Amino acid sequence: MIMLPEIIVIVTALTVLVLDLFVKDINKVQIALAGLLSALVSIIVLPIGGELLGGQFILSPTAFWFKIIFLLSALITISISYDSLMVKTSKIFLQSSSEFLVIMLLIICGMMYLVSSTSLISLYVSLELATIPLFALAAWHKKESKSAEAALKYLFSGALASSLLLLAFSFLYGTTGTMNLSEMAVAMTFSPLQIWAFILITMGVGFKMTMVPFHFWAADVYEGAPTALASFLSVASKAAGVAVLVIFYFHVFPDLVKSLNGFLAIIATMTMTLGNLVALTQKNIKRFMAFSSISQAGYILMGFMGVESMGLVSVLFYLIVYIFSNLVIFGVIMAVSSSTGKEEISDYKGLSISNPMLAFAMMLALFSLSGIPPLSGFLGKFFLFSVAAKQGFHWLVVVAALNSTVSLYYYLGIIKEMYINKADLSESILVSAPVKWTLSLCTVVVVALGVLPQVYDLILEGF
Amino acid sequence: MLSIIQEPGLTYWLLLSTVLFSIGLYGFFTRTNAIGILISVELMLNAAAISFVSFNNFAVTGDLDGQIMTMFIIAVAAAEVVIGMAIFIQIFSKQRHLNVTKMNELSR
Amino acid sequence: MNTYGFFLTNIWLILLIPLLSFIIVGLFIGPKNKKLAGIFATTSIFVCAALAYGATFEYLSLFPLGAEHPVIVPWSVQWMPYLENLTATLGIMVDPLSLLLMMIITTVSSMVHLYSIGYMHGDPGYSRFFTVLNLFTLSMLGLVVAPNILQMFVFWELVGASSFFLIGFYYTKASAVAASKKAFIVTRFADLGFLLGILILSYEAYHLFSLEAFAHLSSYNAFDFNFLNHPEVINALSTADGALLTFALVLLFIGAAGKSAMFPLHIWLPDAMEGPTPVSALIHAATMVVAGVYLVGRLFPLFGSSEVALNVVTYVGAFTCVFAAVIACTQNDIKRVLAFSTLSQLGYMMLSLGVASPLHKLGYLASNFHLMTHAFFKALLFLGAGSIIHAVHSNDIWQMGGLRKKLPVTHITFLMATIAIAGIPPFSGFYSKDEILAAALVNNPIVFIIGLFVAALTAFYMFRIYFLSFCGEAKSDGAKQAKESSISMLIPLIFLSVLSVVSGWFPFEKFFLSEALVHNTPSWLPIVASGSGLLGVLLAYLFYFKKTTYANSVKNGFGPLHTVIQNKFYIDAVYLFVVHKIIFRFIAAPIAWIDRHIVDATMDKTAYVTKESGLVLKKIQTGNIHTYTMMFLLGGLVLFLLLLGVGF
Repeated sequence: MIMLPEIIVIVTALTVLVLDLFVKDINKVQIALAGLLSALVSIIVLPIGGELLGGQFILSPTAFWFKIIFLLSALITISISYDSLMVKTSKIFLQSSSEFLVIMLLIICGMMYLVSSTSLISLYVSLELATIPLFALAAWHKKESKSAEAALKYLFSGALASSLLLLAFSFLYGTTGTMNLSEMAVAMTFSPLQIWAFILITMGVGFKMTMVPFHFWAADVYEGAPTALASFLSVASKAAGVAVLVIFYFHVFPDLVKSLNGFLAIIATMTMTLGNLVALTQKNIKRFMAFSSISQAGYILMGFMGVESMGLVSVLFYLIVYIFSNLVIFGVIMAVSSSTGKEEISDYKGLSISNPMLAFAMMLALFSLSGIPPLSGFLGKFFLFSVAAKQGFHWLVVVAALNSTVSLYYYLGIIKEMYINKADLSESILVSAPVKWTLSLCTVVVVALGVLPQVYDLILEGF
Repeated sequence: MLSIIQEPGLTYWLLLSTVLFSIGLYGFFTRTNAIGILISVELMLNAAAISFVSFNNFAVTGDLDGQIMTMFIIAVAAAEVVIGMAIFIQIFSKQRHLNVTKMNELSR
Repeated sequence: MNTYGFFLTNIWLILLIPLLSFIIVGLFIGPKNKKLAGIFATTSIFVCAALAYGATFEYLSLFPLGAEHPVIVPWSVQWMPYLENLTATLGIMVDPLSLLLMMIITTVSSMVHLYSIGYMHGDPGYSRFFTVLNLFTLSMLGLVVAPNILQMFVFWELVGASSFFLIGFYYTKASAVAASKKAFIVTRFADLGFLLGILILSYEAYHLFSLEAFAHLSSYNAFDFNFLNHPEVINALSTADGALLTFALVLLFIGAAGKSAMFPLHIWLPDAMEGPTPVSALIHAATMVVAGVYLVGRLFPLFGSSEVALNVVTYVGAFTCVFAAVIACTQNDIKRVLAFSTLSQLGYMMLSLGVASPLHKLGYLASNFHLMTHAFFKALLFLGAGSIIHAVHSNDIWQMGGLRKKLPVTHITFLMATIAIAGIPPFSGFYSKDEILAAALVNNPIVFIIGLFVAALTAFYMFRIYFLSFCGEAKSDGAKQAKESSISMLIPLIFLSVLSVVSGWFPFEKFFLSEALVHNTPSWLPIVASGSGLLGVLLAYLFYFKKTTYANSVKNGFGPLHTVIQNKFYIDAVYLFVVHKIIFRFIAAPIAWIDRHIVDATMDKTAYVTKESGLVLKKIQTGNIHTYTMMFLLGGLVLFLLLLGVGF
């Protein structure tokens, strides 16, 4: 029963939706977490390589790991968003939060179907399921015009991207005569129409995983949308984009991409550099995180060079590392804005005194993202860089290392605010228990993954 | 000449699709009303749908995949429009206009 | 494959526990509850000691005494693979040498922790002390269990850093700050040699992997000690380029000499007495300073292949031995005497390694034996000195006296340690010193004479302290009002004194080596050795027991020579002159100018450019949806052009 995880998630979503109608103040977060956890467990138990629905739904090793990534990101995002979902007095409380949760769960479900799909039709529909509800979620803060504006920009960018993708799909279908991805790979002739399809797919996927120059929506959306959504976007949506890219680059166009290392290198450079350079100038922390995650997409792109299984493994490992580090940061952001409602970097002044645990977790996660050993971000980047080095692109490694240095600067800027600058009045930041537990656990993982890279070996085994 | 009018081949259908897509794209660029942009998006999606159907008819004759895809496209496009309209209503209730060039509140 | 018991499979705990303790005491317990911090830190080291003893017990049950004692690596984790045979791993190596050191380090460290609970009571930096003490224990343990030279280097540096914090513990005192800086700079300077030695050695070793003949060793790593000490590797390295190998070994020895305070890099050790006395006991008697000896011992097969390197080790060790002993006779600060005594004993250990060779292993054995016995009695001497200083409130031995009645436990334990260091049977010092002299006699008679002379001097200056402090009349108010220390300070003293006696009877040879050594030692040797010790005791008795008139006249007789020796041969002044007048003015100042005006300026300009480009790029994010769309399509165009450009 290899569709078990998806079914569990759907059932959880429907349970939350229906129960919320009848029972007042249910602990929907608990239900959602229970559901996600059981889905995660069921994935680990399932046999890899199974098939369902006459070959339409498969569980390949790639799908296995991506589903784990999606479920992990959902689990952690929902846990750190506890204040948004459950605490009515919080400054970031979301109205009708159970619907928010339901939609989020269904998005995860869409992402899971996405990686298991074998045909263009199911890929397209799951991709849309994984994208369109996000537009709605971005507009959730009814009283703030920023939220609706962000959703508008997201909608339009997303609509453009999906129409480009659709056009590409039609070209692929027309020239190869099949909707099935594996058959398509076999029938690939690299005719001009197919090359054009390749470019359009890169554009469409580039939107989802914030490649430059398709990244413009990210800054506005991260800033305007509810923080719970921003954190979800930065991990799950990016992972979904990477998943689609993996499906196309590794399974449909492998020979083409193998000869396009320079192309990938240049896009990766543009993405990293622009993300890093603009992040230097940001004052709002959510916008800052948007640019930071844009630059992370650049690093992830390096793993696609050469289209080798080592590259795929390093991409998967980096995504896992990235989930934990990024969500710790967002957890701290949410804890702070939940109590104080403030979102500027300068509002983090003196956090080390008002809440030393939060500041410490934030510091570790920021160091991990910038690639400082012995934290996990360093190992993740190391593996990605070695993929590029193996393909002979040493200049790219140098550029990436320089970019990491630049990123260290702006991450240190936040740490400086927290530890060195003194706050005028120390507002006490109350952190609810679930958030505390999740943050502690994730911080431990951030450090542990850097010291014990057994997870990398585990992923490697699957390929 | 008559034969082309009576039975246009694949090329012309694809040409139609491309032209429609370009019109949609152009509309996306230039219209200032949000609903106008949404209409252009619809145009683009439908252009892709036409492309699917014409491929199915002329190039891939075995099965009906292209037409099935079109069904899905229509459904998804509708869903997108629904969300879009909901967002527009939310914006309109505050701003009383839907001019996208004036929506620039999010800082740099 | 042997199945390892509990202690050996979980040997990584011995590194994890001090690390966790360091973090927990430092971050969580220390700021809040001082008393608990001390107890927690001490308990964790006791647990480590239990682990070390358990591991030794299991090792011996696998490889009994008298049988072959191989090197095993029960735990290792690959850290970063650079290349096929060039990997950085973190691991734990278990063999008699590392087990011995693990036991010594954890035992002495746990005693010092226990002692510090009483000694550091009331000090404002109490928690900080225990935190750094734990860190130090961790780094020292990591150093001795390293299966490869890279890990050893990492922990070597960490040891240097923790010792910096501990020497400069009383950071409000300018002299303490200066001493910690001096220690760090001198050892860091020596580490340059160490690093160069590592680089040369591993570079040469790595090249061997490309040879056909070494294909069967391809599972090893260029950094592993198992690889570097492999007979085939040593053979290949010494025949290929013996001079380069010697050069690398001498560089490594420079690193060892810095840490173990051999002449002329010994200058930091006397000043390091500025730190609290438990620190001196742990670091500068028993553990850190033996790191250099350990390094040479670890690479002993390699050193054995080069006559020149061995000679360097021998003569530097011998010179330091006698040099320090002579100075120790003239010092008036009790801790300074002990510091120079440590220098001298380290000299013994080094020269013992130097006179040995892979065929005549007695020197190697004797060096490690002396390392063990010295650790115990020297730590005891320092802790006892701390007890005395605590009671009398002065370091000057001329201010003490008559403490025999007032500090009974301290007196007995101190006496036992002094007898041990003087080399009088049946205390432990006799056995280890005797073995060193035996090894020296066989291989290098000159060094033997030096060793014998120093044995006499050692007994002399140690009993000088003893007689002046404990016998006679109290010479100052502090001495008159001395009280015995608290129980937490006395227990370590008692325990260490027991060890000082019994550790000599330990079946060392069977533990260390696989085949029995052939002893050709003449039977007159033990008599002569203990005789020279007794001679020293007699001399000290005559000079210092009752009246010091003989001593004073001898001192005046030596006159200016005595002053020179008392000022440690003015070596420090020479160093200061060279550093200030020559290095600072002619080398450091121009470099500093370049750094400030050229390097910094470049960095600043680069940062400025980066920031400016950030601001420029920020402007493209206009917030206008049409811009975004335009960029989207432009992006598509760019992709297309890129595709063409890359020329697929």
